[in-house]
Amino acid sequence: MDMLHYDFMIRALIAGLITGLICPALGVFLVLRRYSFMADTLAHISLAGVAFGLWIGVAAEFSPLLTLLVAMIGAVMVDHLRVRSRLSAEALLALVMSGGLALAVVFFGLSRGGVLDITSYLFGSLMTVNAADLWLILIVGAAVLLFLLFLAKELYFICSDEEAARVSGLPVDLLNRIFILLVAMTVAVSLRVVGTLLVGALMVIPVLTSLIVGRSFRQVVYLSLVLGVLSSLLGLTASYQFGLAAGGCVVLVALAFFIVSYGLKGLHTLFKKRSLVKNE
Amino acid sequence: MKVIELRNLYFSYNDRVILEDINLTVKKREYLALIGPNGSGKTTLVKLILGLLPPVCGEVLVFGTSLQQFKDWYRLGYVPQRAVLNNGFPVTVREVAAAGRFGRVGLCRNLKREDWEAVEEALDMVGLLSLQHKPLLELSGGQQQRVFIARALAGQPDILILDEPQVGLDDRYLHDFYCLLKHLKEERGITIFIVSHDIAEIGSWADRIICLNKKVLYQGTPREVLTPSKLNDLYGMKLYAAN
Repeated sequence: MDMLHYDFMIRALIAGLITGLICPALGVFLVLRRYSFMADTLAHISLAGVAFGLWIGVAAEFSPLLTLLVAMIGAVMVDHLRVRSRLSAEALLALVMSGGLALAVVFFGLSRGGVLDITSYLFGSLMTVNAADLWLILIVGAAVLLFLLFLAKELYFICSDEEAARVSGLPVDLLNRIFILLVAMTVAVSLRVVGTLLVGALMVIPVLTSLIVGRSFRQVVYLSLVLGVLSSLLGLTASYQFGLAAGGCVVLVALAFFIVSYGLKGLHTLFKKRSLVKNE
Repeated sequence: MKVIELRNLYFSYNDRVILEDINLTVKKREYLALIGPNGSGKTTLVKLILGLLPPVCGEVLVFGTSLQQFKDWYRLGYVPQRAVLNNGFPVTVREVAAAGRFGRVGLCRNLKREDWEAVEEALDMVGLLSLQHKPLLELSGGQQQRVFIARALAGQPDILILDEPQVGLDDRYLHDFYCLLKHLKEERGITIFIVSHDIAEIGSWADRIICLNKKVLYQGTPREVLTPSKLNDLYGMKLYAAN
């Protein structure tokens, strides 16, 4: 527990707790709508925002805000294309993701430096979560949790049957837009902890694990939240203990939960089949 | 009293005319069936009534109000054609049916005890109350279709719009299904608007039948409409229906 003597570690753990909660909370709706790559796409756009900030020399305390802004602009663009263009979901996300990454590479090149910054944004780092980041994570976390507290049932309806949700009079387009903006904000603030390359994994893997075990929508949501928080906290602790990249550790823990659940489910199915054969 | 009114409705898609000059009214407590061959525009017409598609020109009035101004969407119940959720969507029968209540409950409000009672009553009507806690995907195709009918009923609508709901229902349940619609109309005063391909069966239940093929070709009682010559006109082949 000596890690709790360090301020940076306390900040990292609080940030990890919140991102571990809100990433899978939104991820449930992304996975079930088959937009699992949305988080990765927005993460790459956010990275372009980080690189742009480095290039124009934005002060460190304003850099997270700029990243947030760029992610939100990207989200609006993705949503506009989703509704207006006839591109399939995966083609649209691949298109925007490549664009975001290309811009990030060019801006990083133009900024001539900041290699350490790039690595921490790509893979996440315990050291980089400062007080300003933490406040931003707290604000975004509160916004996401409030939104889900009041509108989870509407989001569930939209994600299960968008047409029927429209017929029931729900403001589907407005809710979709708010949702995608919250995903963008969550991705942007989570970059500091888990990094660009792995934020999508924290949104998706706990949900996939819950889908193996859960039998109802409610169960899947609650289980995703528990697994997200556990993965985050255990991963950050491992990162501190062994001096490894934070994002990698968090995602590996989430992946371990998935593999164990998958294996146990497979064994359960096997025993069930055998007992059926015996009974016959 | 007219609950649905379509005035000079036109719809086209990529320069192809799908529906032209549709004028029709549906009265309160009427049991109306819409029939027509594949590609005749039946589902498009349903989507225009529900506001899911915008007409090229013309007007849709629901309860006397233009769709643009219409707010009481909970008064409409809708059963889509082949209602299915994404493969692997983890949801119980009860959770699916409860969604039909959301429009009536309103934004940001949780379902109360009377809402859950309405959900259970709807599941009971389609004979699935005992399976309410089962995952939807463990049910057969026909049972799943009944869950979506329950979802539409859970909102206690004044009009029930069904787009070929019989698809997937087995013969054993089909008769019960038609009895349920008749019961809803007669005991609860619900207006039924059903798109059907089941000409022989629907003739025994509906008050009025509309024959659609881009435009309204015929309308009237089953006895007036389901004649060999009119069906021949509608489908372009010889069909016979028992009256």
